[in-house]
Amino acid sequence: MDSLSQEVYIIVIGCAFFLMVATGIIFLVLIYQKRQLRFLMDKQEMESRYSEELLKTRIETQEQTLNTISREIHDNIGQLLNSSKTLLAAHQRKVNNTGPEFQNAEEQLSQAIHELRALSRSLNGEWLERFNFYENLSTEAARINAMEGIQVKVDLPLNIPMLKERQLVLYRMVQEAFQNSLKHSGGNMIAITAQQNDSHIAIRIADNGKGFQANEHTQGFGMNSITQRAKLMGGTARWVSDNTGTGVHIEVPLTTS
Amino acid sequence: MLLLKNVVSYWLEGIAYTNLFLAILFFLWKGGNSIRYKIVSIFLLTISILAVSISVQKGVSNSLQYSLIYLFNTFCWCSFFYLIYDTNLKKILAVIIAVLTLLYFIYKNIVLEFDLIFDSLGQVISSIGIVIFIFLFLHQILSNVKSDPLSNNFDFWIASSMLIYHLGAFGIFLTFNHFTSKILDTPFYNKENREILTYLWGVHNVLLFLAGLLTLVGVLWIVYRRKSTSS
Repeated sequence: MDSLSQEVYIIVIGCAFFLMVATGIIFLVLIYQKRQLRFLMDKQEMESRYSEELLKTRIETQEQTLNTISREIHDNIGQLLNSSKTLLAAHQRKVNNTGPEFQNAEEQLSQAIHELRALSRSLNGEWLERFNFYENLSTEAARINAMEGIQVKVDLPLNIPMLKERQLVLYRMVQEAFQNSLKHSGGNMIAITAQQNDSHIAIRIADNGKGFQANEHTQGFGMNSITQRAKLMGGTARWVSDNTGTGVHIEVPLTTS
Repeated sequence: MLLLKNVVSYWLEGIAYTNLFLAILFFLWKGGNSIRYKIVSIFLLTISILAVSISVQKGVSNSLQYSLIYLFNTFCWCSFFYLIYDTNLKKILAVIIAVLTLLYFIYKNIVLEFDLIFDSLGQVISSIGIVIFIFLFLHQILSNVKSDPLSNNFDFWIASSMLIYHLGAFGIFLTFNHFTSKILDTPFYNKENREILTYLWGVHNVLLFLAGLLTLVGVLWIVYRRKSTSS
């Protein structure tokens, strides 16, 4: 082989080497990108799991706080009112003719005890778990209806195939929506309806109040609480509002686990 | 055998550039409606015409056409990657490389006396520049990892094929001027030695054809993936 052929031969080998280097670089980039992608997806999953745990803990803490408040209302204020009622009854026995003001005060005290007990029960998660979503909502509606000035109409299926714990979370969302309507809407009617299929239940809580601008209230505590709870249940919550009222649409899966 | 030799050594370069141009055109037709592909297709059309003109002409120096090819190649890929880069530093670097190549081209072909032999240095500057563009692009896609796989990214297919061509043919670009001068200077200027050089350029053409083929495979793969995703 003469010198030119030898040199060209070396160059061709060099070309083959560089070709392999180029191919190697391309494969390295592909592999690196794949690994990086997997790492990012794992990280994202970990973050979402962490935030879900955080959310769960927050909601559990809220639930515990509500239980404590419920117990305090029942054990302290409730007991105080009960003993006041007993004292009043004892006084009535002592003095035969107490007059209409006294009767009135006694009736109001009885009503206060009754409402306080209902409020205490509606806050107590352990109590609520004894009943299903429909029963709890009906009780809550009756409690609100007793206040006068606003009417709650409940049109729900009697039974929802859902774990009691999840039913409680759903109930808390509706309760929060009721509270928002009572505090801000200025309307005199709240209607709650539901649509259910094999996998999901969609609940709509609508009032006939003055409505609100969607961006004005997006950071509100009540709305945030509903959104977070819906997210925790793997569902969604959205608001539709105009000057004829506000509707909260909650959709959650009917998983029993 | 003779036909194959003629095709590989003389015609394959034009075929490869035309293939590359058609692959980009096909991608544009299939919805890759981006300004960078339009720019690249215009440059590739020009380069294809130059490459075919080289194949047609015999017995005349083609060093000017090759100088124009490396210059257009640099401008083509500079504008392509310039439009992809997400940082100003990379964009500035791309422009500097293109300007340096242009300055060299002017100096070599206009200021200095026109050279009839293949301009290896110009080709090498152009190839190094394009490889730098590609590395900057690879750095970019590795720093901003997206959920879409790289095989669905047509820019990655183009960058890969250009890397294979420019890195693979680097040795040929670097030494071709040396070999040409050598066989011209030797008192044994003969057919055999000329054939060896023709074969060497044939290797270059095969690499270029491979790059064009890879780009075409990329387009077909992306179109197939899009179709199977939508159906």
